[in-house]
Parts: sequence; structure tokens; C-alpha cells
Amino acid sequence: MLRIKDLKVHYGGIAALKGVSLNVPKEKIVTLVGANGAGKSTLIRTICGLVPSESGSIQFLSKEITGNPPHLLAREGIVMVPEGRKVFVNLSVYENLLMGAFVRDDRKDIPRDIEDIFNIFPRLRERAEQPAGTLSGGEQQMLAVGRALMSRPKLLLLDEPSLGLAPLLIREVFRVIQKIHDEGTTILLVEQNAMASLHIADYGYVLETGRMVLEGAGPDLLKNDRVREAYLGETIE
Amino acid sequence: MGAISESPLPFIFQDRIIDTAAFTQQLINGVSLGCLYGLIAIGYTMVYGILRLINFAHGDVMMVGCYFAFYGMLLFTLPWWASFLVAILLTALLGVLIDRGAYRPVRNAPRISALITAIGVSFLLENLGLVLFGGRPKAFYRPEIFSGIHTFGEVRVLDLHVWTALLTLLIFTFIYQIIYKTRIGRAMRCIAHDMETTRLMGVDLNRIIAFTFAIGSAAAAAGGIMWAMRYPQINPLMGILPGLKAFVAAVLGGIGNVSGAMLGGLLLGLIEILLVAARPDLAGYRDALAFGILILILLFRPTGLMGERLPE
Repeated sequence: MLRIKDLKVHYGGIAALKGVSLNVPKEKIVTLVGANGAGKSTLIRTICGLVPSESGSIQFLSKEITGNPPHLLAREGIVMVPEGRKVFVNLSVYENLLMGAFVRDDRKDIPRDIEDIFNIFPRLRERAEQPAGTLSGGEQQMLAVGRALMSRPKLLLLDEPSLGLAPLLIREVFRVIQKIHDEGTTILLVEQNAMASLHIADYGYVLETGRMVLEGAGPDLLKNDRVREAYLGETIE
Repeated sequence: MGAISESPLPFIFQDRIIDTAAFTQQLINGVSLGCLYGLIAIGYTMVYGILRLINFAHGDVMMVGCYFAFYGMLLFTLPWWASFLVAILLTALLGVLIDRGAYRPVRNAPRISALITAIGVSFLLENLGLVLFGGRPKAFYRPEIFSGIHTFGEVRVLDLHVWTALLTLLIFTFIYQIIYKTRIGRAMRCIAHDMETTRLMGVDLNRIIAFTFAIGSAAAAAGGIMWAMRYPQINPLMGILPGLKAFVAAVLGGIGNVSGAMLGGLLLGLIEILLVAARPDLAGYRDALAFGILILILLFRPTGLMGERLPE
């Protein structure tokens, strides 16, 4: 579904991605792990058109999308849940969900879909009329995910969805991601939490300072010594 | 007349007792003037809210709107109402074109570049106006419907004042509904808060920004035409002072907030008129007063009266 070949990106004056290739097949969860500053966020931001690439190609559904602006990519079905949630704090929860549906032309179905989101996240229903800024961090993350789902994405990009959340909430977030995937959405998940993300992933990539250093099926990567040492904090004899 | 008054009502006239009728009269004048400041301030505040740009050309856009109306009646012999409507639409278009031609190219440049561009556009419009329209003021036609005067006791109410208040209320309500009740208004509020995330929602920033300029410029044209009927004449530099004062009004109300702009406009109009009424000897300072208010607001309450303090 998403096919990235030899992507090079300069970001803030440094070479953030030095020739990265990655595939996300339809209806799979692919996860991208790596330390802070490895270039994970740059990659995901380049995919949605927020950061321009220098060379290489990004194809979505066999169509070249390199250099397309974000609003067109959103219409194509590529939707990101940005790092740090980025809900619209001055809008109500309900309005945030409506914003998620901005690209949709089938306006009649929107209220029903919002109802669906409320069924997944009952807390949001209770707070529908509150400004999103009054929600807790976990609730804001749920709202950010719900907002992205409102666009009925073909490819959902999640940038560090567990960042800054309590362990109990992290488990909840991953449960929801799994559920969204089970319902047929293709997901690219970027995470520092390698353990949890590789557990639910079909396939994983490891990014280090702008290069892919490892890839493989999720469970295989979990068994890999290098991954265990670098990302799971285990000491390998 | 002593410089320092010992009057028991210091704000009121020094040697005359202001009566209810005179006060009511000034109140009406103040509200009517304030409506015009408010209408112009809406454009400042909307553009600032979205782009963090103080569009210093806004007052001059208003001026061009008045000339559109003027020439619509004079050259194209349109009936006044058609001419006013066409002028408002053309001014909206002018706003969009200015954004497209002048501001969009510097969208990603440092903010100061956009500010300087705005000042440049302002000078361009003023001087283009001097060349094309001539520097001599032109008499602006005030249609019959706005010219009637009603007398209630000693209070005289010009029909134009009544219409100004009604039309301002109508335009303000319309814009308010757009911003708070429609899909495009929602996108505007999102852009004001977080441009990047709004783009991720599939919002084409340039379209929304163009729409913002259209609305703001149309409101300014409406305000400008009423301004022109009030005096009733127009000249190519007529936009400067109302523009600057509307900017003060926008800051006073809390820049970025349309209700604040309207409130700031009304307050500024009232303060100005009441000052002149209470102290005719200080009438020459009425413009200084507006900028004094600006300085005080920036010093003590930069977010203005209704400025947003968001929960994070």
C-alpha cells in the first residue's frame, strides 16, 4: 500500500534520513522503532507531506505521492495522529471529531460515525461539549485517534501514541490500535516503546540515525539480540 | 476657562451641565462611529488570528471599497444599493488578490517580512488611489433612505445611524455564525490554533486564508461605505486613520477574537465621542486618545478585554 524507496530528507540543516526504504502492505500493522533523534518523526512527517524530501520516492496505492501537500494526501486517505496529540484545545471534543471528517463528502454519515467513536471511547461522549483542552492526556490521545478515524483513513500513521501516558493508558492505547487494525485499517506505527509496538506489529523496522539497520517480522525482531539490548533494555551476554 | 476643573462631575462639561438629551445624542453618535470601527476591526482581527499578520493595508482596502461604490454609481450608473453590493464583492476580491499577490509569497518568511509587505501594500493602495482617483475629495452620494432625520425631543437621530447599527448587527451576526457554526469557520479556528495539524485534517490553508481575507475585506467595505455616507466624502487617504483606529479597537477587544473586535470598536467610538462632547477644547486630541489607549492596553493587558487564554 505504502512503498518508500531510498528516501533522503534534510531537516533543520542535517541529513535526517539517509536513504530509507520501507513497505507497508495493505491491512497490516508495520512498526518503526528507534531511539530519539533516529529520524522516525521525520519519516512520518515526510510521508504526510509536512516535510519536503530531497530524493527518493513515496508511492501510495501505486501512485507517486512525493511532494504532495498534506491536505491532498489527507484526501487520498493518509492520516496522521501527530506526536503530542495536537488536539484543537479551543474546540469542543465534538468539533474536534467534526474536523477529523473535514475531507469527507458524505456528510450525512458523519454523526453516525461520531457515535461509533463514542462507543469506542465512552469518555469522549461524556465530554463531547467540553473544550478539548480540558481533557486529560490520555483522553486527548483517544480524541486524537478518534479524530483521525473520522476521516476513514486508508493508512493511519501514528507518531508516538504512547508518549507521556501512564502505563495503564499505554496498554489501552495499544488495545485500541489493535482493534482499529482488526477492523481493516492499515497502520504505520512509530514508537519508542519497542516492546509493546513490536508485539502487535506484523512487521517491524529499526531506524538508527537516518538508516534502516534491521527489519523483520515483529516476533523475530523481539527475539533479536541487538533489538533486545538497544530498545528493550536487556543485557545480552 | 481654567485648565483644571473643579466641577463635581469631572468627566462632564466644565461650565455647562450636560443634560440627558445631549448625552443621549452623543451616545448615539458614539455607537454609530463605534460600529464602523468594529466592522473594520473584524478584518484585522480575523487575519491576525489566522496569520499573526497585522494587515496594515486593511484601512486602504476599505478606501478602495468606497471608490468602487462611488464609481459604480457615477460611471456605471448603478442604483445605489447595487453599486454598494458590487463594491463589497469587488473589495472582497481585492482582499483575496492582495493575499495571493503580496502575502502568500512571504507566507513562510519571517513574520517581519509579511508586516513590511503589508505596509508596502498600504502605501501602494494609497498612492495608486492618488494617481487613479485624484487627491481631491469627492462628494459621496447619500441615498434618500439614509438621509432622514428623526427628532425625539432634543435628540436628533439620522437614519444613517439607525441603519449603521442595524447593518452592523446583521453583518457581525453573519460573520459570527460563519466562524462558530460552519465547517469553514471551524477550519479557521483550527488554523488560528495549530496550522500544521489543521493541514493534516485535509484543510487547504490557502483557500481558508483567502476566504478570511474575503470576509474581512467585505466587512471593511461595508463599514467604509457607511463611513463615506457619514461625512459624506471620500479621498484616497481616508483609510489611514479609521484603519489605525480599527486596529486599536481590535487590540482593545483582544486581537484574534471577532466579538472582541466589535466590542473594542464600540468602546473606542464611545470614548472618542464622549471625550469630544465633554471637553470640546480637547477635541484635537481625539486621535491621540485612541493611540494612548493602544499603549495602555499593550502595557497592562496585551490580550485585550476578550483575549484568549486557552486551557492547555
